[in-house]
Amino acid sequence: MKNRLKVLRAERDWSQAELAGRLDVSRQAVNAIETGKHDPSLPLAFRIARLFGMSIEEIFDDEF
Amino acid sequence: MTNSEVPGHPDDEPSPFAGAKRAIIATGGGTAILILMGIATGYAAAALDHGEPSATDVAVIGAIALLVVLASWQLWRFLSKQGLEPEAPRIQRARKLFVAMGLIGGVLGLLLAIGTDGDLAVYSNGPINPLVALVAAVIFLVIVPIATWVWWKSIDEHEANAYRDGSMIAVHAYFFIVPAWWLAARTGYVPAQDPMVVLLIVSVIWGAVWFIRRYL
Repeated sequence: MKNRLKVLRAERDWSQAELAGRLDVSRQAVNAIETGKHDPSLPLAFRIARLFGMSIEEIFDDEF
Repeated sequence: MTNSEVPGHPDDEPSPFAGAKRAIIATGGGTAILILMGIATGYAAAALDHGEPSATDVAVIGAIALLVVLASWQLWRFLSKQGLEPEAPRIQRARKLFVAMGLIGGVLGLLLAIGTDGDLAVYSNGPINPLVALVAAVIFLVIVPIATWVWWKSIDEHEANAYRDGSMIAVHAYFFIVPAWWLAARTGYVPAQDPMVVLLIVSVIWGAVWFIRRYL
């Protein structure tokens, strides 16, 4: 699944490790989500959406 | 704008393999230290069996002990440097548990080395001191499952997926290897099945899949 995680992170000038700390996951998890190797669970997707103040659909998309 | 069009943050890992390299160094270094400790213990036990240890024996054991100390120090420095980046509490907890389980493994290895007659006791099927066997079995049946459960609850979903994928492929490997080896052994083509060798193969497969899924 495609996502805009890296773009949103860059807008806030956060490193992968910083974002991982805010989401309570490992840096590897953030990297895997950004590269599309791991699709986050619904609870993690909600945490990501809340952190960026957006809806899940605005961050994750299975079409673009 | 998409993820691929955005440059990485300066503090991001320089390459996707940096994490894998770090994990290999940490795991390989820890394993090497445990092996060195096992060699020192085995050498000391053999020297004591032959009576009073000679000056050469003491020098060899001392040299190995020095190597263990130096390697441990270097590994500690390496791992300490990695701890500078911000990390989620659960990841820190999982790492500490991982290290604790490695230490438990080291204690088990030493127990088996001390309690068994013969060389490379860990892989021996020979008789073992009943007390050592009892203590090791209790560690395997009580401490290791509890530690594994706590670790499992500490890791994040990405690592849990990697671990789950590894376990699924390892169980399949078990189902393929055991009957094939059992049948081949009955024809006399291969030696009789050794459950510890099967365990080792399955563990390596499990660990390899976990590593690939988590780091590559």
